Amino acid sequence: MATLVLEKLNLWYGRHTHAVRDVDLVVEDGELCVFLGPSGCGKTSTLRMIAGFVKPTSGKIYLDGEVINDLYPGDRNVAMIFQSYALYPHLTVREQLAFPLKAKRTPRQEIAQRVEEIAHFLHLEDFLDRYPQELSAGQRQRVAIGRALIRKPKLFLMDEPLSQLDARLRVEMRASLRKLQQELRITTIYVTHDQTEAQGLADKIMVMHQGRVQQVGKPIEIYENPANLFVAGFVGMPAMNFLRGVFLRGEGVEFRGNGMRIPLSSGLGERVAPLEGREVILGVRPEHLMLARGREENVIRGEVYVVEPQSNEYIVDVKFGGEIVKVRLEKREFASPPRPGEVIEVTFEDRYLYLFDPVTEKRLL
Amino acid sequence: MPEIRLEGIRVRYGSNVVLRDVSFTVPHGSLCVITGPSGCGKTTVLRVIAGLTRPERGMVYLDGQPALHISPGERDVAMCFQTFALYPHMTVRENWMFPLYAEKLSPQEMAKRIEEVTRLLHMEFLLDRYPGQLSGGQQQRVALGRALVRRPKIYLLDEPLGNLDAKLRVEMRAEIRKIQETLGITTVYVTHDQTEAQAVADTMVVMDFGEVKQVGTPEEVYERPANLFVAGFIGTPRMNFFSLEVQEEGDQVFLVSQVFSLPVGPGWASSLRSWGKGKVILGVRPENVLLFPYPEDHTFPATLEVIEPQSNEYIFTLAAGEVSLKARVRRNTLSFTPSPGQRVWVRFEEAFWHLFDPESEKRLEGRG
Repeated sequence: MATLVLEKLNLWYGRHTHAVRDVDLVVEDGELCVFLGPSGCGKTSTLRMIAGFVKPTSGKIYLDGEVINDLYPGDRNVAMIFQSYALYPHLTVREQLAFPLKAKRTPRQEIAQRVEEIAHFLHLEDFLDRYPQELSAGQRQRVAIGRALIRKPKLFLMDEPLSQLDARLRVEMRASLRKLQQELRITTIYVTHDQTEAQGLADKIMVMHQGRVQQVGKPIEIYENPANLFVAGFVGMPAMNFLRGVFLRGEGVEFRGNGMRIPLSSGLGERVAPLEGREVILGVRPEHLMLARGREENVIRGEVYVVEPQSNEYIVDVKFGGEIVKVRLEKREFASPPRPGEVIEVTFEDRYLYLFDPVTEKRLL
Repeated sequence: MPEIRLEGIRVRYGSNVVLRDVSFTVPHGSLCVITGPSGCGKTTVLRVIAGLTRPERGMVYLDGQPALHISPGERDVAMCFQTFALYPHMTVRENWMFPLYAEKLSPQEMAKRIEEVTRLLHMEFLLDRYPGQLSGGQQQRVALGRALVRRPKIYLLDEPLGNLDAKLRVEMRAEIRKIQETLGITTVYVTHDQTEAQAVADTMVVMDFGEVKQVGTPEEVYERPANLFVAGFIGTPRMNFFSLEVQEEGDQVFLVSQVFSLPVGPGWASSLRSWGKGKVILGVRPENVLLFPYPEDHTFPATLEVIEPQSNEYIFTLAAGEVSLKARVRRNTLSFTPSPGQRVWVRFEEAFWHLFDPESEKRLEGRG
């Protein structure tokens, strides 16, 4: 159990690649923190520095208040869990679990006792004499975690541990991992490019892009209050709609862009008043748009372009001037499925409007 | 654009029967998606339509005419394989132009087609690269583009978005849907991803172990799955299944498990009575599970084990005795703030019940 602190962490590969830039982070004892970002964003490099596989160019890594920059990976008391779990195919579960202790020359009696404990804790008692290929994916995951856990590490590091699984199993394993983490409460760093996985698993998410931290927060905070354009576009599926334009005042305030206009509610009009005349990027999530049903404020009026059924919803692409806006609507809102070419009007509540600066990409509202 | 009809197709590799009695029709100009887990035979069906695999039994009809004797080259299909099979010594542009030479297009028309596909597939800056200089996802788009530049009678697409990242996949599947609608070219599209299948299909063919399990619109397949397999395959998280006893007390029918007993309304009760068996499987999708912070009519208690935020929703894993189930709930419809270990009360809306025969695994007709 431990607290992890990263302080102004930087990593250069050679003279030209600044892979990790000024990363500051605190991971509290027992937290699961997800490093989230597209490939090449620096998330795995940051993990590798924590593991001790690469040395930071500058900055400090504290584990329980102690600087661990100069410790060998083996001396850091961290456990890494890899994509494929890397179980030994020729060893039984019992032998897999005992392996790290044998390597440390732990007395046989103590090994047996700790294997029993761990197996009980991870509900693996009935599988101790099986080989990996005789286990389900979930059981294999627990064995891999058990093998790491038996050394009583301070910190778990996981690099895309679910990426090899098919979509359905991934959803199941995500929940089982979350449950396990709630029971174990071991400080964990989890790296993924999958924002769905990040939202589902994390106590805390660190979003990275181009080597920099974009935002740190709880999943719901990151979703509801994205700090900038990158985070807003990266978290959520389908992605947030972005429309470029300006606010103009006529009878009321409206947003005008590429062949389209959105008349705003008076409340919103007041809030955006300081931004009048300035180019901004307006963001609204597909799931925050709903059928207007006669409402005239915050209305997006366009032509149905593509309709995609999705379980109990339709994802409707609406042609809105020169833009396409994606809308997620429940099927039961429609008497008959929407058809391409039909006119559709959707609207959003004031609180679901996001504004970004097109140059700095920072959040304005 | 032809209608494609398969009738009683059987394909065997050695002693291994990979397709059994596969029959379905793709109306002309529509988009049919074949979906199922890996190894279910979906790619083989595509190969049969293309003329690359000859069935042991059965017939392929193109526009009502038997087509098995027509060679692949004469069927006028454009195919996008899972393995890209790009020409390594040609740039992206040349790879795309190659099939067009055979069509003897004017240079203007050719340029127009290339431009369209470039825009569609977001390849603006990559036209002069060679396949070896592209990422897997980019190579896949080149392969797809090579089919889409053509105007054949039939498109056959095998996992055309398989190698792309999630964001791009969602964006491109809408564009493929649009281009197919606009061109009206009969298309058969194979994917293992049921999300993608629902999104792009006019007709879905769901397969398992070489058999067709259901043919229908995405709405039909989701709302009225024909059997347990389809019910479990379509939708994420997966449908919850419960093995239950049918019991009658006086006039009232109950579905009973170790942990709960659900009173059955008159609609389902009459179907269950006429069906007359003692055991049934109840399926309820996570999005049709209702949760309350206190007991209500027709509810049973459960514990919130895992809470996963997901955009504007929560996905809950619940435990009720030995039974585990999932619920998908919009955050703004939830009347309480959830925390792990919390006790809640669960209701399954009868209108969204799916009942299955535990032996035949078939759907029981009826309604709540």
